[in-house]
Amino acid sequence: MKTLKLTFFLFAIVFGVATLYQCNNKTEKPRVYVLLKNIKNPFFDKIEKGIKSTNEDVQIIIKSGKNESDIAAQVEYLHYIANDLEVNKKEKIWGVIITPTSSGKDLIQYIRKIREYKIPVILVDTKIDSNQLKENNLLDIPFIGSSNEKGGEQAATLLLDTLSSNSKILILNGVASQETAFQRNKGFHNVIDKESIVITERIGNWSFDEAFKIVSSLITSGNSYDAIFAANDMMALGALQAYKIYNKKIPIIIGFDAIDDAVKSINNGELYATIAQDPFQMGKKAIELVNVLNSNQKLDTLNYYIETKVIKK
Amino acid sequence: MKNITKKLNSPDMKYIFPWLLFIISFTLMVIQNHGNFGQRTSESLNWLIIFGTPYLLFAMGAGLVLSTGGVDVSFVGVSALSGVLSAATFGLTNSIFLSILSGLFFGLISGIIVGLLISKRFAPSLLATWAVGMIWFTISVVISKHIKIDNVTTSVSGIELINFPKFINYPFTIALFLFILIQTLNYSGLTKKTRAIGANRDSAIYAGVNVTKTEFLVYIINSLLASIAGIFWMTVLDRAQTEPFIGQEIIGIAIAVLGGTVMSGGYLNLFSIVASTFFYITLEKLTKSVNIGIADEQHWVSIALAFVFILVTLFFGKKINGTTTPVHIDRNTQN
Repeated sequence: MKTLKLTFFLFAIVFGVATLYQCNNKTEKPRVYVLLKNIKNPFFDKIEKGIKSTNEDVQIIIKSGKNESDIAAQVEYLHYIANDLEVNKKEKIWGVIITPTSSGKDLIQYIRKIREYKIPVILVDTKIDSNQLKENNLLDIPFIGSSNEKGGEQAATLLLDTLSSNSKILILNGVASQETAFQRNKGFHNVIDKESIVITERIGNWSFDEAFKIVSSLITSGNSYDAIFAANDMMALGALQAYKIYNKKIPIIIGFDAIDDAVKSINNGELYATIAQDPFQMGKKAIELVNVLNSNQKLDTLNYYIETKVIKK
Repeated sequence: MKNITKKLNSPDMKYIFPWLLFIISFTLMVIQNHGNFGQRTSESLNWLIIFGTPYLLFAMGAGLVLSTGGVDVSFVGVSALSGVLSAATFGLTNSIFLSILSGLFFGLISGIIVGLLISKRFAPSLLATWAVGMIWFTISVVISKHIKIDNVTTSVSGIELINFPKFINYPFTIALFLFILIQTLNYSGLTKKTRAIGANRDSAIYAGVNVTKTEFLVYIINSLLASIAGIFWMTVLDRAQTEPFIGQEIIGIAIAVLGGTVMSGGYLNLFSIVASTFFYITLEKLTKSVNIGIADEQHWVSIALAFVFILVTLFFGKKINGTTTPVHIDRNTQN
């Protein structure tokens, strides 16, 4: 037992020294903090890859929450960055890139604190409410994303081409407090509300499992739908799986994001379509903007929209 | 009348109570269903098996551990990594046997690690199991992100499963398996020993129970049950998710408690945990399928679910609770 304890002790020391050495090495480069909603969603994984494609000699630190509504994790990380700024001052931090988990006021005070040190902050994928930004003098924060409203409209137009009037549609929405979810839903309603379509809405929290549970519970309670619009591909795939499990006729299912699994499913003739975003380009553009802002150049615009397109078989 | 009142006030009532809750909720669910009555009822039963099995396995494991007076929250991490390892093994070898074996083997290893930490090294169970669970969970993400398998889509969210047999096509076989599992645990005498340990550890020692061995075994069984749940859920979703039950540790424990398990130890009935699992799953189905008709209704669903539990504890708290009277004796834990 003593030998075992000694081995553990030595291992802990070696591990600790190695970590310290690595940290020491890394602190020489300026840091870019990237706060992603949830690294376990392939969409955010691609944003990360886009950010890491930079040629700039910076250290990129990725932070992610447990899920896409984990506001507490982002608050904690932003608080940490703000503290880091107080201790290390500006020269150590090159920029902060955030895919906000909340479009409300939850993150604002920390972003304001970071901006006080003139650190570039870039919002990606999800906006923060403009009134909140205005109240805190943060309207100069750039945003990079897809036109979610337009994407929602594209999905609705695609469905209307295939459905007759009085068809039943199930909408699976993302986290209610997020601008992205709101915009996709709004875009979809802009088009679909003009027709007499019966709509049922549920919130799937962007999650495969949640969508799977919701759709399973609905179809085993005797509900049927002609089409499903899921605000992201994970929910679309969850809905699809529910139909497969209960051997029901798969309705037209449209997702959003064009992750690899969804595109494969479309090619297999299961999902009908997805609205493609380009998360890699979003990430790449975000790090470019950080570099531009650090070189004191002016930006052409504060809103950069990467085009969405329909992908179907 | 006196006999009925006496029966209602007996300690065993807490084990019958979950069945009453389940019958009420299942009746409500059947009434709420529309369309073909027979088909809907059969689909609802199928729903119970599909969604109930992982929660039942979690709750049974949690119940076993709780009845000893400990707690194990590593089961979510164990189920995630078991699923990922099974899916990866199947993708690489195309062998169902090896796939299931790898998941179960990992469950066994995890159980041994947790069991050693708690029964032999006397680590605080909540801290130790939480830390171990987090490690498994993170490893499952790393494996899913970096593994490359021909013709299989892998990503941070999980690993796709192609052409794996669908256990859920045989719901009665699953139900039979669960029944045999519960009966085996009951007849093995393990539940009696865990209750004895939870009620009074020292008395259990004097009564001849090998406390260290029993605790060690309980953590292994808990991990194995979690890995079965992970493998089962992988076959349901046709993919091994890296975050299938994340954040749901408390639900497994809550179901066990609703089933009459007492958190301070001493009380456990696996069949009443079956009832409380079915009650929870039925309630979840009810709340998810009812259209409340407002935009962010899912939040209201969560509130409704929580409200039902508050009502249950408010009116029937005494029925589902139980007290043991541990004798606190300072002892040298090394012996």
